[in-house]
Amino acid sequence: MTQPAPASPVFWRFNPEVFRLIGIRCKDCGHISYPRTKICHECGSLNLEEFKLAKKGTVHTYCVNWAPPPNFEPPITPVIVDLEGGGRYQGLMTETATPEDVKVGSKVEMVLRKLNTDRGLNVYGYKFRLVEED
Amino acid sequence: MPGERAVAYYDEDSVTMAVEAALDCLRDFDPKSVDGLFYASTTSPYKEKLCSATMALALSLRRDIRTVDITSALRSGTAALGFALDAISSGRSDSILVTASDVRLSPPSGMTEQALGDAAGALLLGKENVIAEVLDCYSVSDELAATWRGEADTFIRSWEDRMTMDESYSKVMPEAISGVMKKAGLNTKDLARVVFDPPGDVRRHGRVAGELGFDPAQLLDPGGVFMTVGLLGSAMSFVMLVAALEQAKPGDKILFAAYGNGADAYVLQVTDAIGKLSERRGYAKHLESKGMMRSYNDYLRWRDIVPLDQARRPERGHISLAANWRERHVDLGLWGIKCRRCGTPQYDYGGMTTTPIRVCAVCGAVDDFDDYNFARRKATVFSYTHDMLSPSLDPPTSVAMIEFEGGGRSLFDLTDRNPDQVQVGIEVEMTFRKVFFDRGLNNYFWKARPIRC
Amino acid sequence: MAGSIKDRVAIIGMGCTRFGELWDKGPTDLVVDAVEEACADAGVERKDIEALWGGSIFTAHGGRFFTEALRMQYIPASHLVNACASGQDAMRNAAYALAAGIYDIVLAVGVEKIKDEGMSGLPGMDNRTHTHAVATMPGVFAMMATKYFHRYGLNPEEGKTMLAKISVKSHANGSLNPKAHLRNVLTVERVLNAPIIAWPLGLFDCCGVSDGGAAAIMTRADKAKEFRKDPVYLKALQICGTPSSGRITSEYDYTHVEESYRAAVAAYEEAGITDPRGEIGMAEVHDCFSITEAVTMEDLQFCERGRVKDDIEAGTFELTGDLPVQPDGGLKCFGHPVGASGIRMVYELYLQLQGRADKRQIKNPKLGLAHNLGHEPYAPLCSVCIVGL
Repeated sequence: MTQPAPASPVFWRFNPEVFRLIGIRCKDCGHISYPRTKICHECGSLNLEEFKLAKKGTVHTYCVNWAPPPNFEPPITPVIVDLEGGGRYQGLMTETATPEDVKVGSKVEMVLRKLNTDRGLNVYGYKFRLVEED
Repeated sequence: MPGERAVAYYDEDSVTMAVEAALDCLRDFDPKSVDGLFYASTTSPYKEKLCSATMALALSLRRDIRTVDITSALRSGTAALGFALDAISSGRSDSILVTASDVRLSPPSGMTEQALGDAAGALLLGKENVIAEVLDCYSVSDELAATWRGEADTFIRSWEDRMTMDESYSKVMPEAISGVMKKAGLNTKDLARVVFDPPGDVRRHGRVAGELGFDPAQLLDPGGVFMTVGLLGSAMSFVMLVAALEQAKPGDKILFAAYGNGADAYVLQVTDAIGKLSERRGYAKHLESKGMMRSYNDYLRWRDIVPLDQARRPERGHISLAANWRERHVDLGLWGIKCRRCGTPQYDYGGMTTTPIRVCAVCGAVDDFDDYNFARRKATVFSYTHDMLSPSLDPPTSVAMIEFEGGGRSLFDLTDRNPDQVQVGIEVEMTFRKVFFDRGLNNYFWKARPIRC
Repeated sequence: MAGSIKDRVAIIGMGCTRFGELWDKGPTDLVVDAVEEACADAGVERKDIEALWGGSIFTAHGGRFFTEALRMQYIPASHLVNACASGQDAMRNAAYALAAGIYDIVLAVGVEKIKDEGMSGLPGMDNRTHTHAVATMPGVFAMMATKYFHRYGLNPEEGKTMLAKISVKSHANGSLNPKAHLRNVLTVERVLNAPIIAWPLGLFDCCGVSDGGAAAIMTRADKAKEFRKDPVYLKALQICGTPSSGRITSEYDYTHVEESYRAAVAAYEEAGITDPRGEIGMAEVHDCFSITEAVTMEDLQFCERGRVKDDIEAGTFELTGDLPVQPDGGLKCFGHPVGASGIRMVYELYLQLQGRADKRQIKNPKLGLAHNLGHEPYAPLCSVCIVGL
């Protein structure tokens, strides 16, 4: 079937993840999974509790994409970030002057941005920007 | 405004109507004998894509023919006629099909909208067994456009009638008509019938005719056409000529002219062959079998002048030009197969995929077939439904499983139908329609239509 | 004929979610909930499952969908996309793997999360070139009703009344089922006066659109009793494919479904059944539309061609009748999350055979038959599954 529209229940169900960064922490092994899951990624346990991700972290890896999907201005820099306190988050970089500014280990923080517009509705989510050095 | 006007159905446009007229025109003629197809219209669905190329497939014409679209003027039809005559008299072609069709729009509820009508006409020109000979022609070019549409315009624009009629129609028509009569050495009394299209103000036609010295009895009354069908744009002249030919006798001289940024005029002489031409629906039969619309609101939706509330239904996929091109003969030409082993005709547009048929559905023979065309075949309704769930611009969506005469069965949409009159066993025929629109492209295909005349 | 699956594999645990408009459940939730219930029922853990087959036509994409949802650790996984027969096809493939002696414990699961699409009904007919007649599913089945009425001399009122009784019966059963999507009771009059969806089918002649998941844990017959004292054995599981000739040849009469008939014939032979009407004790058939159930009764040889009306009038297929059909409410009331339906049907037969069907319990049920019809009546893919103790 076609991509779910922003009005679809799929988006509605993911509101806690998207806006409040709610994932889960396994009470048995401590592993943090995001988005929420019913079964721990690490140990398979069903014994889970809600966990709110931090908004700051370091870049685990990234790439610079010069041929992005439609509606994206090249280059785009997707990053996978290890967040403070646990959990990993995949998102796009924003507010980088040049792609070379991003490195493995760069300190980044989340900012809420408009990701896309689809069928008249805006889709919001977090992107990362480099933390300004003092 | 009193009178009635013709409205194209939501699945019709200038291309589908041109095909319809052409099919009627080509009755009992071999499409393979046609050397060219000239499509004339001011309302082509494309600024950049050839409609005549699509039509050539729908009509199963040859590939090595001249296809050309002639647009932009209300006299595109007679202009195309001129080129066709030139092609034949030069010896380059033996037979050319010319169509003229229009679906013109004007702001809702206005006088102009009421006056317009949607129609198509088709003429087949050739050398042998002609039903009317073209004796002479004369053209006048004129810059002044009484009506026009720009690049981005949906609706017709016009200047004050009085000025444009005085300076254009009333000057140009007499010039062209008297021009051709002089060339042919004829005076007004020699003409059995005078056929020329009116401008927006039909009374002008009478004035011009009177000033030229014609008797009202000689005129093919445009008022009649206007009151029952409307002002038909570039199709008007063709439709009037067909109406005239339906009443013509051998030996009649007909004056035929059309207006639009100038005028083209022709003198025709009807021959004995007119009596031998097989019956066509033409003007009279189509008019007789007309169906009336339910309401003006339907018209606004069909022409996409008002938006439709979105149905809670899945989006359809995009058009695949590759798939469409691969299946062009099956889909546009309605070509199926007849199995050489068991003799069963079969048509398949593909259930969830695409055709062509490689394995006979009856005997299992592989690739052992003859081409078999279904476009002109009559059929009967085997079963049908009126589907309220499927969105339609004229609900309900009527669908029928039909059985072709001679064999073959398939599932088609029904169009031009009154739901109450659809029954198992009624006769239907195939008609070329627009079935989908996506990112600027029209998807054309065939539907089944209960036979009306 | 090829070999037989009869009494070679058994179902030792089943699970089924509630079916309905489950806005707050994602696809993962449905899979996990159904499988966890099945594991608990079988007394096994997820990690004991050696291979899985998942049926889903809209929701899943590949075996990975299921292993990801369940966090299955590196087991083989296949995804079946076979229209409404996907669930039973998942069971079929699982069964053959067991019968071949490759695995001991396997999972067949079905899921569909259709209500995320925000629309009424399922996608209509369409093909790559957009030339397919734009009927919807109700439309193409409605044409079978039109032809059936025409052939057997039923005027529209007689025909619609016959169909209405089918829906009324299913709703009576669905009202007894806590997991069903629709649990309201209907009357014939209400059904007849309902708005028309595709003539002659009205609102209550058509099953709705539902989310849901169902699962079966299966093992070889020789191991079944290690898990429970009352495993349910497969007596037959047949699928009949289609040459799709019915849409384009004159041979199809549009008043029966050849593929349902042939799937049943093959299943009866596989199970050693010679008197279907006498030996089958209960049935869950593909009542996507009331006309489908009517015609299926004839295709399964429960009654003669053109004569199902007599049995409907006589109450044969009621819960308390000779041959209860749709004891759990059927697709009509329980719901039709396409990939899960085939397994949900077996779930009901399974519960009935084990005496766990609560208010819907049929007395001393014998063999149970589950039937699916995928795609359209003129070119369907059908499955028939027969189970018993």
